[in-house]
Amino acid sequence: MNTPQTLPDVVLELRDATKKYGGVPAIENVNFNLRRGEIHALLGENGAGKSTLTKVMVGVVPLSSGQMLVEGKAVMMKTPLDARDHGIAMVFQETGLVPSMTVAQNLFLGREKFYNRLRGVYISAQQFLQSLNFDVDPTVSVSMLGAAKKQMVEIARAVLHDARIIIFDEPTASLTPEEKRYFFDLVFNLKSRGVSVIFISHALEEALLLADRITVLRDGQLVVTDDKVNFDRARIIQAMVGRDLSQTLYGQTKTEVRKPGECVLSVRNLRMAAMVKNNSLSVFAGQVTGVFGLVGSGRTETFKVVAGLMKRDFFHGGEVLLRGKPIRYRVARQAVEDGIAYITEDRKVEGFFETMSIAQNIYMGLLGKRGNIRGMVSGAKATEVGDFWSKLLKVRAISQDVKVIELSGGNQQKVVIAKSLVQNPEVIIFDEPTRGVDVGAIAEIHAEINRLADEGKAVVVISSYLPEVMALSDRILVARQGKVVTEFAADQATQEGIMYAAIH
Amino acid sequence: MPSSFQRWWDRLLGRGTAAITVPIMDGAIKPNRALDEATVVLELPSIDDIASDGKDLWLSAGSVLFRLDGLQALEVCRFEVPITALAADSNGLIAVALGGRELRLIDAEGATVAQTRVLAGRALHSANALAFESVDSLLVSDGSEHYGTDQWCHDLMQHGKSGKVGRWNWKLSTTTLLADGLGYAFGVLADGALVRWSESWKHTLGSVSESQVALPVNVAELPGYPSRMALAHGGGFWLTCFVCRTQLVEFVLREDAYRKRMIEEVHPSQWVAPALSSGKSFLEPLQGAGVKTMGVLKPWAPPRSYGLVLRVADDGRVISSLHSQVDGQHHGITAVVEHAGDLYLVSKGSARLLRVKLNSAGDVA
Repeated sequence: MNTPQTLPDVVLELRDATKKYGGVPAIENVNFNLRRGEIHALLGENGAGKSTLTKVMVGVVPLSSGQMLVEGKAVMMKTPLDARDHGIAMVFQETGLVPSMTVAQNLFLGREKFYNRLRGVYISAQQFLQSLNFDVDPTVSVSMLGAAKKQMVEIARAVLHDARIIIFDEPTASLTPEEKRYFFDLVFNLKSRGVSVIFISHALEEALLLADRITVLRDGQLVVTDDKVNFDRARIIQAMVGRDLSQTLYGQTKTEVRKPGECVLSVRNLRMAAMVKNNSLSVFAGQVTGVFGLVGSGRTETFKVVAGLMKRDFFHGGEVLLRGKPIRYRVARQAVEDGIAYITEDRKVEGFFETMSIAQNIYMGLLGKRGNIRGMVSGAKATEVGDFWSKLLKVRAISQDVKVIELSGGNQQKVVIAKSLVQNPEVIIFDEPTRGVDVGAIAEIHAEINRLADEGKAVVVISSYLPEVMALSDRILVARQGKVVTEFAADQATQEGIMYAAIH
Repeated sequence: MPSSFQRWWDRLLGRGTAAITVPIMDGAIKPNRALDEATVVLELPSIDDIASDGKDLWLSAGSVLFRLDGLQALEVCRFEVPITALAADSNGLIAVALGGRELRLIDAEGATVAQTRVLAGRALHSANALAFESVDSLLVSDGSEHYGTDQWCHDLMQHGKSGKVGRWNWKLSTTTLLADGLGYAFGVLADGALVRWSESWKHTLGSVSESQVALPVNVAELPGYPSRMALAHGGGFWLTCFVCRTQLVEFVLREDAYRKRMIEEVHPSQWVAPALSSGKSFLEPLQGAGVKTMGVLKPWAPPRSYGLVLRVADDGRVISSLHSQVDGQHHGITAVVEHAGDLYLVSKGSARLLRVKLNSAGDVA
């Protein structure tokens, strides 16, 4: 393999990098480089391709086309082990440490000798952590550590494994302000040691504070890479959201805004631990209420409390009113009985029974609503209900007996939606309704959401994808740090305005 | 669960009736600056109420009745006590409530036509809103049997429930009680066959049909304390909210011992309570985020005073709203009326008469 020419001091380079999933590009012709000892911020909306790009770098997924160079040499990463051998490590948002093991054991995990003396491991770990000036006790179990200390252990492990490039995925999402300051010091410490750092973040102020250079991705393409000094908040937001609308699925501007009907759902001063902070909002019949916010803004938790899937604070947790009457559910079934349907964002874990057929899954929704006093389950009824909803939502499968796990993401999502709609709810909460769904199914799911609102149902769409929120919603609520901070009428909303409210 | 135990349990956990929550201003009640951007017609100290007879616009301020002439208020007549409510009809009659204790019907020259001091055998004490129902009857709301109209805050802090709404037929010299035991009645409206009233401390409206059958409340719990109303020519009606609710005041209203001491020991102007205007004294209580930070008062801070007018549809839905947010100046809106295609509003908090243009649909242009 010939070694291409590369820039001096560039430790990692991607040339025309493209990764396709089932023919759909997640990243396309990305040219990216990382300099030695630099802190490089990678920014973009959810779904912009940041994760795919970093996964390519650490060998989790291979490139479909294009080239990757480490220290000027073309490499082909097939596994994360290859990446580690090339000095590339990634610290995930949810750390990959083993909670039941001690800090020292985690540090040396995968590098154990044939005979290990625990005392020796602890001493080595102590020396190493002190050399990094990390104040972590190596004998403590990882489960006892806070988020920042876990990050430290992850970083220490990466340095111990001679990582010259460390990639952080949303490193500050779960940190307190004090922990964040500590983390920033760590990153600067790494930089002074000549380690190159890539970090993904939604917090623009962090990027502007930490980074030497900033790269913005949008729809799988690299929009801009430039020195930090050439950026300000406005330019970053513009680069993040300024897509050519005519080229996207969600290009159509919402011209007709539905008028609000009765106030069906009212959330007042809701509190839930640190995730939902004094949150208040209303949902009206005959409208699609879009809820936008970045990860951690408390959107999902708020509506999970509404649907009885989570509990609000025990003391002074606020109120949820359904048609003016206070509600507090002990179990989700009570919410279903009251006509509230929550359609999960994580369909594979919470959405369906994977070994059951389409019809059986949809029928389960009906059983969940009405209960079956006699303990009898009607196969004929299941088939009838399954056929009806499969046709209505255009679920594409060879037969109704196909297991849901064998369907595509879009069809799985339709089954999950049908499972809730069969209960004939009055309030329907869609949480990320088109995540991981193919383009054709997105349009059909959107049509169904609009149909429900036209029928007079109160529909809530929680989405991290701005164009989706703008295309669907009659009113848009923007959540930040556990509460709704502003509301836009659909005909007055702009991407920049919404993003500004979500971040500031 | 027995109700006393339920109450204790709710109070312990801050749930149910003890939940310290307030409705959010979103949807049709989303804050705007319409009241701050309204045209200021004139400034009139102590301005309180407004009425239209179809030709002229009448104002009350202190003990003086004015007629609006262009941008000037012309004095029509002066009474011995303050005017606490005002109504005008197309036949040239004007009704005034004097000192909250007397209803007087006068003609355009100020001559007395009829008067009364009682409502269904009980003395009036705090008459604060009037509305002509027909050529010979007048609707009246009496806020409290214990406090005068200027002492509405005392009634709020004492959980007053002595408000009443009634009808005075001056031709027959009869009075009829339509509703009693109200948590401060402040506003009446003759809406076709319905009589509507505001029950301020319950944050809602009540209504009764022609056959005097009380109708179920169809207006959702409001984020403010509702007050006077006026018909909207495009359908429905305008509703003023003279002050707004905050979690802090809701909390104080549940803390009996604290409130008792506050009433006994603190001057009313410095109570932790809503007000018609604020920001004039550093002695005002610091209410949550209402405190200025770096010299800036955030518009979304919890309001001590606020300007809010709602347009309500016949079915009780709020369909639009006009606001003067916390950092605005046109607070304490106590009266509203449509006149000559415009909407006139009295901001008692700023002692101003405001005007807002209406479009052909009768909504704010």
